[in-house]
Amino acid sequence: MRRFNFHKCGNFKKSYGEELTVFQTDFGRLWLITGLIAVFGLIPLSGNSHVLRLLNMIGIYSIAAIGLNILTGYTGMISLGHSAIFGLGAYTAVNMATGMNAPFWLAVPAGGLISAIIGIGFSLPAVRLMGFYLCFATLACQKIMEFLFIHWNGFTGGPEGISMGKNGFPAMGFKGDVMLYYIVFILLTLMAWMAVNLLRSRFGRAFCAIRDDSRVAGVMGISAFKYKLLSFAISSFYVGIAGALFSYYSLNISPGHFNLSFSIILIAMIIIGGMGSVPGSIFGAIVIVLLKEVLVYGDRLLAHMFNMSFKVSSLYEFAAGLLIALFIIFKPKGIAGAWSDIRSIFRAWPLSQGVYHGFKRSYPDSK
Amino acid sequence: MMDLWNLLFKGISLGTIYALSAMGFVLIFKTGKVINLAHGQLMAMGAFLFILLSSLPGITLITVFSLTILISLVMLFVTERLFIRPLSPVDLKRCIFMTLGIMLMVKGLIASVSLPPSENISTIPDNSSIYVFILFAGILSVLIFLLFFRRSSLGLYIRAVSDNRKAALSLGIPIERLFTFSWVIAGMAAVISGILLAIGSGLNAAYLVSMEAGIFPALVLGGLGSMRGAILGGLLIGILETCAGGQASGPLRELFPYMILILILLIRPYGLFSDKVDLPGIKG
Repeated sequence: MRRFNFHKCGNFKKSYGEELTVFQTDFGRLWLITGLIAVFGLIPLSGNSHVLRLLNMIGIYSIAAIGLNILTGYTGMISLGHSAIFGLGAYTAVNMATGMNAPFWLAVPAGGLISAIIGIGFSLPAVRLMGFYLCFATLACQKIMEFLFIHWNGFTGGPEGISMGKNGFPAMGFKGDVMLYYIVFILLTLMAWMAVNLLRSRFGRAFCAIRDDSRVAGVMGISAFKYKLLSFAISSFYVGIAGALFSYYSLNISPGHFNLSFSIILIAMIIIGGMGSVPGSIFGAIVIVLLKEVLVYGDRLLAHMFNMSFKVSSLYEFAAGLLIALFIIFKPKGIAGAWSDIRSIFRAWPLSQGVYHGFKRSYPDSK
Repeated sequence: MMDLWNLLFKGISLGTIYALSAMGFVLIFKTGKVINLAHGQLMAMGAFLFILLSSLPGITLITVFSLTILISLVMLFVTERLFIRPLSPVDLKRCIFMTLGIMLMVKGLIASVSLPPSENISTIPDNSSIYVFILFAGILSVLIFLLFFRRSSLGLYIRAVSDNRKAALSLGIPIERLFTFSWVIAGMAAVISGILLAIGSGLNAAYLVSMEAGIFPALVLGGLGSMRGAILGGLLIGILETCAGGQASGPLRELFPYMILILILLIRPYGLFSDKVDLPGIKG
């Protein structure tokens, strides 16, 4: 039996490989295993349809946020078009499932693939430019896609939207929720695992190098153009998969789901969770879903207790924007950064001056 | 022939409004190196306030206008103090995220209040002379803005800061206060152009959503850091948009500015008037 690894009181690494390991201590493994047991064993047994639907939403948003984090947090490109890509995945899956009778396991990857291909098209005008021009290009693509979603009736069903019908999981009632729960969270686990491993490979390091300074990256032999396209494609694939799952999750998908505000809300998730951190993306998705839930609860509270007709939930976008602003000012590294700061304080306690920052491992933006 | 002149006239008045708003963006960009993605939403905010206030019973147009200006002045000032000031020294990426947050906030606020339908509002006379008024007001505002930028001492300070920040600081220019000031002025430009657009559309609340469509293509076409570019880009986009709207069917018109934007990014991404913009803090 090998020796357990616990927190060291300093940095005693002897090779670069040690710095790159996923779990530096056995606590990480322990927490992961407990978490997985809880997610797959205990929660579905609790048997509350509403909670399950919330969790499904969190899972779907988490996949999308991981995808966006690969692009924005790691490669340093800001995209305002990811909600269109999300929508593209959703519409593709619906059309595959209802039009061609494709099974679930074919429709979802198809959604991801189509999204990845269109995503490459999105980024072509802008990857050769500086970062913020990508904002403009993706904004334009987002608007054009929104237009297509509304007006391309054959593919999207027009403004009223389109439905999975009997193929969707809501059609199966509670059993469908549990099934979708398992599918979403197995996919989330797989894709998070893939993202973590991708990002500590050659590709992930290239992404980070481009983010920190693309000129220096070019000198080191990293083709910025190639890797930016690759990053956009991977990111779009993730978001497309999330969109496809969303189409199975939602009763009806309509163009209103995939507007510019949702793009910014996706960005809000990774800002709140933490740029350049895979667990951070999941934290961000949890916060955003809970935010909406709390606001809806506030609606009911106002209606019941004060007989007010004002809807707090109409302030959802406002609240998300406010969260972006607050996190950018006070915690630019997001929840993941705050968590690792707290951990490093405890680790160095009582000698907490000159704290060793454990967050370094997940490659935060150096600026 | 009459039709063409009519279209051109409409296009120029729309273009003047775009130019006014684009100049505001350029002002912020020059003073603080901030890419203000919320600029289009500020236009929508102005229009929204204007429509909301003019639906109040028994209120004159002048009162509505001055109230809108007053409220948005306060809002802009507060926004700058609360959200932009804490970010200095400027980091471009954080500023972009922050302006996105502001954009979402303004959007959310607008969406959370339901506007009365436009039939209930009758303060605006509905005839073609309204376009003359818009053109007139637009040109006047652009001229005032230009005079401010070229002739006033504050304009001189702003140009100095955009030319060389450190040198300006060492000569005693209060950079932070100057930025607050230019943020408010730029926001006012956006708000006024939003009001003019709202008047031009007959106070139609449905128009709020697509209001910011023309502004980003105009900016990129002109080059982000150039006043001349902003004016010319705004005019060009306005004329193109109206002419295309005259030819193509209705819904395509909304899409048109964005298609131009992509085209510009493909062909001449640094705009007509700006050389490659070199920004500190963002590379790649």
